[in-house]
Amino acid sequence: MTTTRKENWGKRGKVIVTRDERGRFVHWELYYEALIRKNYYGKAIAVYGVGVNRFGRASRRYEFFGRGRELEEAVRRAYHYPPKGQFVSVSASEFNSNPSRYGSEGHWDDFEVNS
Amino acid sequence: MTSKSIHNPILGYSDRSTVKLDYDRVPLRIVKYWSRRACNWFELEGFIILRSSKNHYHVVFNRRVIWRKNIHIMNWVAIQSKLLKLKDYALMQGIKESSTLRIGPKGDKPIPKIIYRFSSQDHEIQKFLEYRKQIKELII
Repeated sequence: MTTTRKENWGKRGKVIVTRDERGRFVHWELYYEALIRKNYYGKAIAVYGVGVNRFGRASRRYEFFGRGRELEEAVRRAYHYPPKGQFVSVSASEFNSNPSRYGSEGHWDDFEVNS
Repeated sequence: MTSKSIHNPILGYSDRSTVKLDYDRVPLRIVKYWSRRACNWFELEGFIILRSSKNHYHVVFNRRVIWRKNIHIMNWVAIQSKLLKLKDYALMQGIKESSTLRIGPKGDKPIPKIIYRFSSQDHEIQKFLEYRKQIKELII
């Protein structure tokens, strides 16, 4: 299980940091980047489920923005790279250029469907 | 093939400007009634109903709205209809700050199919269907 929160890093400024249940660092992202993505990007493809990677087994989710082939490629890569944090919102081209920045090698488990 | 590669993540469509509703364990006539009522009350131009599985339906409305209005409409329908699952859905979308509907298969459930169309389909529904087509191609 990972947690995400806002922190103020002197050198970087405001950042969004993801840590695992033991407080170990997992992922960071500039706060304004996350904010811009959230507010200005429109339609997205959501890839979600129970992701299993070196950070454990948890409900995880990607939201990819972009078009055509980039999007297709990002979804295919996401199959093998569940996100490090619980929620990652990223442009498809950025994810394709460096998937290991946002995800960690692993697989997806079946959802425990209760409906 | 190993057991690790059997399961795939679920693919969905997510945005903030399309009004989407997820009715779980609700008969189709109730879904139609509340969708028409919301469509008329908020002037949403039109809607489509997709069947996710038996008594599980998704509704996508045609008019583009701002996120604040989107939350307003989802919550209005959830409260007025007194459907607990719809309330949960509206709350979850509020937490995520964007609303999502499933497009790909999930466990035993197949890809949702369009079963009903009402009035205009030229704005948000058209965009939704374009993305749906794109995602379906990814799956097949």
